[in-house]
Amino acid sequence: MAVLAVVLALMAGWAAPVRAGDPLTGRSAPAETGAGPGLPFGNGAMMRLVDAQRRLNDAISTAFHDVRDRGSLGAILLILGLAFLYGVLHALGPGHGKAVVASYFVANRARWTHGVVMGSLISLIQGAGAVVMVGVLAIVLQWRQFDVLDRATLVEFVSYGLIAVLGLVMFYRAVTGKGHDHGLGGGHDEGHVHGHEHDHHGHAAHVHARVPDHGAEVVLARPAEMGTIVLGASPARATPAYAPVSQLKLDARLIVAAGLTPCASAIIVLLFALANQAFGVGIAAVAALSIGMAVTVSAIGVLSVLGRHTLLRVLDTVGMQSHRFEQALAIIGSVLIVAASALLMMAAWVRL
Amino acid sequence: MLGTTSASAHPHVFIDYAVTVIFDGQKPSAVHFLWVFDTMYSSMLFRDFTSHPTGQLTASDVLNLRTKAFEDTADFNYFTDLAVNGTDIKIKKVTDFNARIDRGHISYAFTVPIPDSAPAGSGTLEVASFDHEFYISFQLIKGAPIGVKGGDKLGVACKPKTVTKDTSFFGPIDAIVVACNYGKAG
Repeated sequence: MAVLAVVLALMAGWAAPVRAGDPLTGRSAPAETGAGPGLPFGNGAMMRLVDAQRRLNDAISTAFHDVRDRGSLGAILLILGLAFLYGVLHALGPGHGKAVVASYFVANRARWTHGVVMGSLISLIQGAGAVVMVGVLAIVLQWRQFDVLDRATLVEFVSYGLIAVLGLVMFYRAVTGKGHDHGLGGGHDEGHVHGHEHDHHGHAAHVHARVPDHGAEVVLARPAEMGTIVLGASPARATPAYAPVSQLKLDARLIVAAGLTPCASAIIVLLFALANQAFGVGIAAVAALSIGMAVTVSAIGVLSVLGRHTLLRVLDTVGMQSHRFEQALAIIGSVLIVAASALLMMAAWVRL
Repeated sequence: MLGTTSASAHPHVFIDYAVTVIFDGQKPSAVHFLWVFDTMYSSMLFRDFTSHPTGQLTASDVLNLRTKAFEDTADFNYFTDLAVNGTDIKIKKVTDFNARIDRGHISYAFTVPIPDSAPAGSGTLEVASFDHEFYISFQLIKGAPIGVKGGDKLGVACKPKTVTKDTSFFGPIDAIVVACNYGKAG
C-alpha cells in the first residue's frame, strides 16, 4: 500500500521553476520551462481574474495618490477595501501557500476549522513578513527598492528549504507510523472512527474500545514507545487533546515556514506607499491584503479537509475500510509538499 | 490543481502594450513595441533608476533604464514571442530604445528587427509581449493597440487572436497575440 501510494504520488508529476526574482531587472537566465499542473480553473476565468487584479492595482495606486495629495480618509478606507479584494483574487491565482495547505489536509485528518486557522496564519505571517522586510531594508537600511524585492529570493529559498525538510519529516512519520496524523491539535471529528480491529497504521500498542452507552471511543493507551497513557472520552464531535506535542510542533513550524515565503505584491504595495509618504497606510493595506488572502487560502484548506473526509466516507460506504487509505493519503500529501517545495527551492537557487 | 508556495502568486506587474508591425518593401522588417507599466512598478523604476525629475525623464535617466533594467530582459527574449511563417525568432538586439513618464506611468518604446530571412511577398507573422513565467501580465492597450507601417501594396491585415501559450509552471493559458497576414487575403 505504501509503495503504491508513493508511485501514485510521483506519477502526479509537478512543474518546477518559478521566477523568484524580478525579471525586468534581474540578472539570471530563466530556468527551463515545463508543463505545470495547470490552472485551477479555465483560462478565460484566469484572464478575467488577472484583469480584475489589474484594475484593482490601478485603483489602489490612484487612492494612494489621493492620500499623498489630500490626506483623504475616504481614500484610505477605499485602499483597505480594495486591498482586501485584491488579496482574495490574488491568492486565487497560483501560489500563496495553497499547495502546503491543500497537501497538508490531504495528509492529515483535521477539522474544517483547522483549515481556516492554517490558511489564515500563513497569509497573515506572509503579510507581516513583507512589512518587516520593507521596514528594515528600505527604511532602516535605505536599500534600493528593487534590491528589497530581489532579497525576497533569498528568503524564498530558505522558506522552501524549510518546507521541504518539514515535508520529509511528515513523510517519515507517515511511512513509519510514528506520531498520529491528527494535526493541529485534534482530529477526532465527525466520521473519525477508530475501529479496534483494524491495522491502525503501525500503532500496534494503540488500543481503543467502544463505550456502548454513548457511542464514543475511549483511548486507552498510546504506542509503547511514547510512554504515555491517555484516558479520556473522545466523543465523535469533540477534539480531544490527543495529538502528540511533536505533531503540534511540526504543524506550527510548517505554518511559519510557509508564512516566510514573501508576497511580492505586498512588498510592491509597501514600497509604493513608502514612495508616497504613506507607509502607515501601506501597512494597513497589507493587513487588509493578507486578510483577503487568508479568506482564499483558508477556503482551500477547508475544501481539502472536506474533500478528504468525503473520500474516506465514500470508501467506507463501499466497504473499502477507509482507514487503510489514511496512511496512503498521509504519504501522498507529504510527498506533494516535498516535491513542490524542493523544485521551487532549486528554482530560487538558480536566481540567487 | 495545487498551486505552490511561490513568492510569486502571479502576476505582480501589469504592462499595457501596443505593437506596430513595420514593413520594408515586400516583407516585414521590424516590430515596434510600446510598454506602459502600472503605476506601482513605475514608481519603483522611477525611484531606483532615474534622477527623480519633476518633468520628463532625462537622457541619462533613459540610459539608466535601458542598461540597468531593460537590457536584463534579453535573457527572456525581451518578453517577445515573435514568429514569422511559424518559425520562432530569437531576438539578438533591440534598437531605438526610449523611455518616458506620463502621469505616473513609465513607458518603454523599442524596436525589434526581424531577420532578413522573413519571406518576401507573402507570409504570416505572429507577435506578442508575453512572460512565460507569468510574473508580468501583458495586455494589449485598449483602443488601437495594433499598427502597421509600410506594406501598403501587400494587403497587410493584422488583428488580435487568442492562442494558448505555455507557462513555466502553470501549464497552458490563453493569451491574445497580434496575428498578421501579408500578400494574401486576410
